[in-house]
Amino acid sequence: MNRRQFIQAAALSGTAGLAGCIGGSSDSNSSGSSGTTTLEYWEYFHSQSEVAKTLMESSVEEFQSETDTQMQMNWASWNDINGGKWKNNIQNGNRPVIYDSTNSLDGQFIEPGWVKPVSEYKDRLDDEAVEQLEWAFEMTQSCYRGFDEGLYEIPIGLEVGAPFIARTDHFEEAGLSIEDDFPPENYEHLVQVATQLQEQGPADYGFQIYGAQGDVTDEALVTWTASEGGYDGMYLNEDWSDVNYDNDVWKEMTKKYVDLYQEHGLSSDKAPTASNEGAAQMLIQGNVSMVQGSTKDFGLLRSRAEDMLADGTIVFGPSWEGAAGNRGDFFTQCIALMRKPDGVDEDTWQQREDAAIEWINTVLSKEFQQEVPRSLATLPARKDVWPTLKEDELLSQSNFISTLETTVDGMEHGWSSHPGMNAIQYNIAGPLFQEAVRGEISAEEACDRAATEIRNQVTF
Amino acid sequence: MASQTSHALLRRTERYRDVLSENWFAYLLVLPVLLFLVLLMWVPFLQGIYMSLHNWPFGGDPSWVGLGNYEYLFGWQPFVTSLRATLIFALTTLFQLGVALAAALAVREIRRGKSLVTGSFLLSYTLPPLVTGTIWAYMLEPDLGPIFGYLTQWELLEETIYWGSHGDSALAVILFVTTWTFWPFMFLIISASLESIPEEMYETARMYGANRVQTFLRVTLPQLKSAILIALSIRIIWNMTKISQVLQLTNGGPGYETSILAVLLYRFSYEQGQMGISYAVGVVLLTMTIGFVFVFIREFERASGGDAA
Repeated sequence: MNRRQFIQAAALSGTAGLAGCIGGSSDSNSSGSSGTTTLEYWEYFHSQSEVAKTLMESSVEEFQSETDTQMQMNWASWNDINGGKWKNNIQNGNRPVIYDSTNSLDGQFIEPGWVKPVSEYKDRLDDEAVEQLEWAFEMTQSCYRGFDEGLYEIPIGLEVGAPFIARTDHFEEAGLSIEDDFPPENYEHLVQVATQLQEQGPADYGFQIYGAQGDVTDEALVTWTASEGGYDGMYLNEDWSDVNYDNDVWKEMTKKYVDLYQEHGLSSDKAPTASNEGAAQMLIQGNVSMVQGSTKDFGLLRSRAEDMLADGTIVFGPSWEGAAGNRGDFFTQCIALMRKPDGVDEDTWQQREDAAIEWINTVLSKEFQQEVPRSLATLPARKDVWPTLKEDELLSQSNFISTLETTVDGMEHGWSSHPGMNAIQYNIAGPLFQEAVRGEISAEEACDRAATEIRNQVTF
Repeated sequence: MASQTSHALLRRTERYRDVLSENWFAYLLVLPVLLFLVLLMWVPFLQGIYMSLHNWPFGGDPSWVGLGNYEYLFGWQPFVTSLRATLIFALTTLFQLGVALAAALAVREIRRGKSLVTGSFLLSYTLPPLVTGTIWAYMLEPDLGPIFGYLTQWELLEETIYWGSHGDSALAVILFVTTWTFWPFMFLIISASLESIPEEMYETARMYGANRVQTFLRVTLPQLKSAILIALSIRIIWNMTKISQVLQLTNGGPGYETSILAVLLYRFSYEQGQMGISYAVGVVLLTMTIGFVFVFIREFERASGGDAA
């Protein structure tokens, strides 16, 4: 290519590119002239595991083929929601009609009034589904207690407490009975069982705790505090006017949690940096005999050790019931509509909302809800599908669904959808609680410093 | 006295006018870039300094707090830990220089296959840092990674090392990975400069009986001075803003012990939406970076007696 040809080619492609940039600005949410509605959907569920990804992708594809709706997908991740991308986009006028997420991340969208309260479109949802969801609607209101409306997002699945997960073969080898000794009935029982597993079982460690900044405060520990203290054991107090980390419940439970590693030596030295998923992997490999992880570990286990779930080698069990009369906290995998932004025609938005409602009814349908525990690894919000799930070999052999059912019974404390939850749960508390797990500071100091820092940095 | 001053001013103005009229076309060509820099860099930069004096929640209205953000930062224990981590992390630039200099000198001696060796040296730099970070995060994973797997299998280690649980070892791993990833940039610049040193200079040194060390100190190093200055200054500035590998390998932990200032800035801005305080962190980071570059250039000038290469 000579110089002239190069300049011509560069000019041509530059002009074409510029034209693309300038010209391609048609409304991405527009309704097509051919009767097809284009629906912008920001989707998060798929990012949780391979099986979740398969479910969401196939469901979206099926929906598109069965309706006149063209889904314009933004396959998003945790960091997109938490790292300001969504908020930045919405602020700059790029807003989806519908999104799905985890409720604790969404206060940043609810507070500015971008999310449409469920009460404004509940009557457009499928009646039968709503009837089966009423219990979840009522329970989920605890997540939005700092806002004016009761409910802003529709729960699809509930992550309830942190279940115990154990290796039955290790219990047998250690001379323990999986029926009688699992799950532990209280902290003392946990220490006793884990010690016997470690001393007489095949694994190096009896019970793995995790101190990674993103997990240390949001799984087993908060399950213990919530079951012991009710609202006192949640991150924020009941009216969201203060943080709870420095109360007695948090201090006592944090000390007990740290002691499992520091005092009793029941976890490996990976504890300060171990994640909940890493602990589950250690369970698969047989390095530990028991963990208290997340319901979402079911998705990970299904991807990596399905045979161990199917033959009952790995089983789930509910956390113990504490003094507050429950087995821990919960949060939701939820879906919601956004309010119409300025500059969009009322009828056009209504048309898109109709399509979005149709999609919500799809994810609330029995067929989709039956897939929720298998693929999204949470308890389906729709109660009438629970009995049918017991027929599933994987769910029943692993005690997964019965564990979730037991755990949710009596549960009432949901993670707050406060706009500052990322700082409250992770950014500020995470490093300090990790320091406690390392033994660099005491559990009490971690709690006190976390509370002080949060009061300094977060507006209540 | 006053007339002398005004006369000098007049002469200077005339001189500027002459230069401008002689080189108007050159200035015209520079103007768009200058405007671009002013509008897209200097204005936001100055605005950043101004915003660091505000409490500014992301998406909300800023309110004036004066030096409040700086006062908070310097009284906040994790910020001190972060400053320490940043100072240690800055050492990666020196490690990169050491490796690059050694590699460039070694490659210069190679007679056959030079291109192949140079190409393989550049491999780590051609991959996105996110990719190399992922590779190393896996390689160095204490339980699943091959490195500790082989070390324990071959009984070179009694048991695996959970390096992420200790601040010093976590920092050491980050220093190692960033050095491994970015040293080829310095290698490229130094190699290019090395090739341009006339062979006659080495012949002369040999004639005068200089040994290898003397030749390096008296011939090679002075000739590489400009290249090293440029490479080091650029890399100091770039290294201080690298966060992807730190987040991948340690997520800033344990505690805050590997939360270098760039990580802190990222957290305050993107994850907590506290733009005012994140700008304040940015200003401190900038001051440190400029400080490093300035100190380095001054020391280098002093050590080499102010000779320009």
